[in-house]
Amino acid sequence: MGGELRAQDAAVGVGGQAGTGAMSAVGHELAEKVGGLLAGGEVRMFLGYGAGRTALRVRPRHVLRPEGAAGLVWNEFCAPSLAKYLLDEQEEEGRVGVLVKTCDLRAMKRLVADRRVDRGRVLLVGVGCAGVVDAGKVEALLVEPVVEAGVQDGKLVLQTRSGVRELPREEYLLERCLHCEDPNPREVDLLVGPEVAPWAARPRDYAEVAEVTAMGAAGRAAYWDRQFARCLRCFACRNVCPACSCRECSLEVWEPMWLPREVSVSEQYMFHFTRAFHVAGRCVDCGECERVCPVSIPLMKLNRALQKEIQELFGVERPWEPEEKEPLAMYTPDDPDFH
Amino acid sequence: MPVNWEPRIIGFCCNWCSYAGADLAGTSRLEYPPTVRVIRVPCSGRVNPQFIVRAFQKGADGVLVAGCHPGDCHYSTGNYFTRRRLQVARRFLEYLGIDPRRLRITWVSASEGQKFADTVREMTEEIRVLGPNRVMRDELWAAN
Ligand code: SF4
Ligand code: SF4
Repeated sequence: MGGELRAQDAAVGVGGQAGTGAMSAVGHELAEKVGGLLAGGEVRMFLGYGAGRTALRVRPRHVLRPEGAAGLVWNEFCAPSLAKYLLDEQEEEGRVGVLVKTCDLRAMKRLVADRRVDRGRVLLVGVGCAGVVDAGKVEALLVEPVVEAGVQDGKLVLQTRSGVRELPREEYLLERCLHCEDPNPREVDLLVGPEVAPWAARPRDYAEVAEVTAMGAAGRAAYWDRQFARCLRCFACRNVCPACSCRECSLEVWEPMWLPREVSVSEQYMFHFTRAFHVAGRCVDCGECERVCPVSIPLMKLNRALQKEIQELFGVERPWEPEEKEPLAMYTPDDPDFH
Repeated sequence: MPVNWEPRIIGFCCNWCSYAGADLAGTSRLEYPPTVRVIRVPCSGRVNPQFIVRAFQKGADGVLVAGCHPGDCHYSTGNYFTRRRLQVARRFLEYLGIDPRRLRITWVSASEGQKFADTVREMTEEIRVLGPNRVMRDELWAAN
């Protein structure tokens, strides 16, 4: 145990903050505060990030004892949303602490609005975030594994066995970070780290949706045939999604069997239609589904198309915002009619 | 286009209005093409959008959903929910590659036998021009 903790501690230095100082300071503050929360019995567990398999990846870390807090990391590779893990924690008594960025906070609100997570039983520890790196994008570029990674002067500095490589950081951020309107989470129970200065958020213009629309009906069918044919039905997209939390999933029930286990392009349409439509009006636009897809299916082009439709049809200004009254679970008598 | 091919339309009709409307079309001996297979549902709100996908998978060339006019729902508000949900579903199916002429959602009251007959005739003609549907279709059905 001790050895493992030391290894995790070392990772605090390596996992991105080497040389920058600021983020590792946040890491230390986080470890200290979480240690205190656990020691004081304010939470029975804390969900944060630990070092991952490579310098570009972190993995979720469940901390149960104060000593374990030292293994927590905070760096620009902390992309995964931890919100969905809370579903597994609803049966046990006691509060659970969880580290949230602004985007994760929207996921949390979704789960609370859907009555799947009890807000009173989570302690939200917010952290200002200057944007996280899309590890998949970097990995696609490099042949060798990255042994050390960090950010210096707006550049992503990657150490591989054969040398150092520098990349413009902004181009390798997750897409959701480019749209981020407020990098500092509000309405949390505790904050760690300093305020992060906001940047000019790119507006949501649905350009990627317009691109698909422009293909025409036959072109679109051919496009989606190609995309869906790759799907492994691993369900990672569903499992990570904060809007997809039914206890019994229609994609899994045997009677009636909505989704036969056979994998044909026809059934892939059933799967992808269902996944996207079941989160229509509730999707928080976090992009986690697309991020975790092992075969890079552009799932956000489905989710965004639905957002756009809901916005246009029902005048919902911010369809990605978790609301108590979701747009497809209500109506007004003067909704637009079919023609 | 296959020889002797005729469009196949699945019609989901609400029990209280549109099914009665279809019935009236029959009892009034109105002529319309025998291309529609009617499935009676308690309310247009019962039409889970997955039903529509399933119909296209299993060989439908077109899908018709017909319910009571807004304001006339037997359960007061069912069709208002239908309208919201299916507006989105229809556009989404279009986005996935279904030609919008293959999916029609309309309101048919129990006294509108003529409207039912006209709708089926119009749809049939449009789909006849489009040919058999291939999008989403199960390979088992792709042959015809
Ligand atoms: S559908 Fe994708 S983007 Fe939307 S909430 Fe779920 S994981 Fe996030
Ligand atoms: S994560 Fe990707 S491959 Fe896996 S089920 Fe979802 S779309 Fe298919």
